[in-house]
Amino acid sequence: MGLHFVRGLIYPNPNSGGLGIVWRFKWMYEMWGFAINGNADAINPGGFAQVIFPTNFTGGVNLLASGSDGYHNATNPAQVSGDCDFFTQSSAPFTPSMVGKAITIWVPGSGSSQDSVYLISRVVSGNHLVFNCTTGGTPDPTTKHPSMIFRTGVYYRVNDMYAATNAGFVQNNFGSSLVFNVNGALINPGQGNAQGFSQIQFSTWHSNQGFVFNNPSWEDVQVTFGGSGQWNGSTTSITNATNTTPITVTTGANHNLLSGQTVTIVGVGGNWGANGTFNVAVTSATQFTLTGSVGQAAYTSGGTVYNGFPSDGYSGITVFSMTSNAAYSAGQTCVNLIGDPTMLICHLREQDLFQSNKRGAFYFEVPSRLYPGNSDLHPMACLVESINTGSLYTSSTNASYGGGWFMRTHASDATPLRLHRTLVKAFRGDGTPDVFGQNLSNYQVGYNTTTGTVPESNGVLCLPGVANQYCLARAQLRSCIFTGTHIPSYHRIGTNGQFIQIQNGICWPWDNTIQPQQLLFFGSG
Amino acid sequence: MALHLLRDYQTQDLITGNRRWIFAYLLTIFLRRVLVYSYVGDTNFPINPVGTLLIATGDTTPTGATPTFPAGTRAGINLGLGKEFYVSIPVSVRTVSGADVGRILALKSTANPTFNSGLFIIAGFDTVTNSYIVDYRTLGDKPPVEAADSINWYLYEKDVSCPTQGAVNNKPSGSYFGDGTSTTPRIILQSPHALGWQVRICNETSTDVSQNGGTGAGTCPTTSVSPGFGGNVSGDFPTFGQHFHAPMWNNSNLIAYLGGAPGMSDNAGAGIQYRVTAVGDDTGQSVVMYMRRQGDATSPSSSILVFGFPNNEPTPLPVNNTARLFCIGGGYSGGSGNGMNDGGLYASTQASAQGTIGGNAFAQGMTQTPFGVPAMVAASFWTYVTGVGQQGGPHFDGSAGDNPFISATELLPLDLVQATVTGWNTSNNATPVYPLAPRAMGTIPLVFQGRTNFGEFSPSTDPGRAFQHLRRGLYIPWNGPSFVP
Repeated sequence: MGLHFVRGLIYPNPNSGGLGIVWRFKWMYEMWGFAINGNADAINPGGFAQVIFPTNFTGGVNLLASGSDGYHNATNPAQVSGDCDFFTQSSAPFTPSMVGKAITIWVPGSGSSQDSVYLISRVVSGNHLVFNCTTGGTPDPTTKHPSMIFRTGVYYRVNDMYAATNAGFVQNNFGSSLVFNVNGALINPGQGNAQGFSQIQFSTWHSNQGFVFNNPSWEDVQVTFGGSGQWNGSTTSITNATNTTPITVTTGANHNLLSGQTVTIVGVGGNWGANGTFNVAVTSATQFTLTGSVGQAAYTSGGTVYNGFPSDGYSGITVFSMTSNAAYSAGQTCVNLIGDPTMLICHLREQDLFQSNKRGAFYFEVPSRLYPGNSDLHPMACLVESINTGSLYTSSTNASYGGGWFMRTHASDATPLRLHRTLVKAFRGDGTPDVFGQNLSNYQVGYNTTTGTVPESNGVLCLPGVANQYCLARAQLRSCIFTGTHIPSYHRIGTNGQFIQIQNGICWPWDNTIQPQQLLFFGSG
Repeated sequence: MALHLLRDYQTQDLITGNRRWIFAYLLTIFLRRVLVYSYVGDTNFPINPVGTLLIATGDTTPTGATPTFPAGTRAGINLGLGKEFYVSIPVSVRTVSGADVGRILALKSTANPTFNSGLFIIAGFDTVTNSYIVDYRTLGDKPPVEAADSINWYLYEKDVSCPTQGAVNNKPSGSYFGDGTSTTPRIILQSPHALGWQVRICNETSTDVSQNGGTGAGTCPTTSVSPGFGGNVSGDFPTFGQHFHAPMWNNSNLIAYLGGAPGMSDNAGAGIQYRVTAVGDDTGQSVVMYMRRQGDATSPSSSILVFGFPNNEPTPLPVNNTARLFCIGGGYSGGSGNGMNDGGLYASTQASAQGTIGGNAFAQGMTQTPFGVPAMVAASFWTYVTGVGQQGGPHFDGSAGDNPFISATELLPLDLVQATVTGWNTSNNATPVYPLAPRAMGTIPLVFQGRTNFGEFSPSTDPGRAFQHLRRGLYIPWNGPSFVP
């Protein structure tokens, strides 16, 4: 199972506009749905159980071209220009205005790491464009440079990522969501629903957070886990949503929901506090209350209920507030995506014009469970970096370091999701605190100059501080390992470059690629 | 592989200053007779032949690599109702008598290694059955019955008679004084491990023993424990040899080597009693030994020692097998007997005090780098990615309980990492003496980490008592009988 990469793609943006959350969702949508899990459908992605977004977010006018008649040339592994020629066989969909836009390519079922999202650098003719493959591709066995091999039957989508993002940034679509089918069974035998999937939903809105429409510097993202459940996605129309706490929703037909399960509601007019994802408490065949909701105004019209995860002991909701618009406000964005059908890292940073508060990231993965399968059926971990520290941190309860990994706790815990902390090995001999992470710059954890190796530690998730839910080693992360912070950034780690030290000792999975340019993050990070 | 226990031996010497050498005496007997380490050489540490310390045994080759017990010369245990703690001795080998009361009976049971192996104090005798009545150290469990002629046995002299301390050698000042012509007791035993690694146990000379770790004092604990290869008949490893007793390796008493010969430290005199527990395997991989104060008193403090080969060694293995060995214990102590590691494996330099800093327990460890020089080693605890060092972490969580996923207390292995600091003595701007060459060595075989708020010195709650929590979140394999808390 190969990894797919977008390595430091610099995407040019015009000034202002767009929500940071939706901006990230758009990149995740293209990468996950098509490059990682693409099927033979160039429009509807293969990696989602459900997508609730406006047409122009998923396609529509902001999908500038799409097709299945593509092919691309091989690149010279000795060269590092990154130019890869892409052609269509029977159509001529390309126009000069596509320069600077993104092209997603994939060959259905290939699993090739060449399936990724690239930046278009030139349009030669209606059936010929050039994209820069240095942000993706596969390392050449000899030079380790990102390179491409000749392929035909390539599916493609050309997107205006910026315009598509803005299409998702409209009031009526708060509550929009993506439901990712994550292949849990590949990691932990028996994990997932009948299809082997654990599911995770990212939504754009939660009623509790008091969004101020005229001040889009507040953003909320809601993450919903469905460890073993199957997202239903069937819809029911809403006829009323009371301006009360909590909100009681009335549907025009029987809703067929069960108390405790999750729903996503979009399009409620007036009482916008009803839009979002909630656990429900059923009160009648056509009514239910939204747990944790707060009425905001009188109901005026509209609204649709999406039937979500069943209450299976492994579902739960958590909310992250981005305390500023963690998006671009000017200039360019550096896009980093790493994923396979079991995990996705989405780390986007803004150019340093207004650094250091424009940052945010989503990671999710199926970690390796450390208990017997029948003890911890469906572990699923999610890290949302929502703190604006200007640098990359991960996995501490200290908010200054970027939050921690959330996991569903034991089914007997009344709190569905809890913050887990990351454990690493104390590779120090003198007991000094801050073993890894932001404060470690100590030379004493350094290179072994004889073996050429550096100390590295797995990350283990634990749950301290919670009586009756304590676990010392819940699961082991797969998407990152840890080493000393004085290891230079972008330094490949491991005997075969399986990881790369990004920042603060945090190492992301890698494929031994040597990039022709530094993996830019912009700014202090 | 079978684990053998030395269970809760209560030291008997309350009247002489020899108590500080008892640990070495017990350890060598445990290694030699229970775990069957073979003899390499010694100076004034005569546990091998029948004589002053070894009083009697059914083993007709007590100095050989392996024992020889002809038929009818082994012992039995649990002679039935009212005689559960009787150990029958073949009358053809020895007639029991009151003179043996207080002596040490070393037993090796292959059938019940966690119940009937160990070192037991003889509390009485029975001439009718020609049996010793042993202090079995149980809270109620009886020893599993083993018929006569089942158990290897060795009768050793009382712990008050243990080897003590001798004179320095004739080396010039600035040298290490405990080898060569020194008369100080030391012994080298060889593990039954396939690689035949050895361990030197030395009661260091008064000149070499560190007291308070100050300038001008020695560099060693009262008893050093040093794994290695290539020991000689005098019980010494050579200078620059395959071992990591730093003062001996460098032939130096430079204060910078303080802590470079970990072992067991206790400089105080008479009147203090310890309870000694040890676990080792019969394949010769590793040993852990715990010296626990009566009443869990803290001054002088308890201490822990662990040495041998790790588990889960990363590959490729070092060509230099000494680089695969480790020893973590106490590196020095105060003149009062304080300053031992207090039963903790948290590593620390001597920056603030001897042995303990801020109420936490600290140990020093040594190993060798793959390129053949002594280097420090430390137990690597799991800790939070930010904010908490190895003395913290979730194992100190006050709300910790059994894990709801497995309805049991979790235990995790302890990693070993070598060569991450340049010396254990960082006081007085001491000279860096060890290389920085960080390398994971594997995990400690017989010590695990878990939650600290599990009852101290308590067995795990599973029916077989698979582990015993010592304290400070350190757990050792047990599978033995109940024991006095």
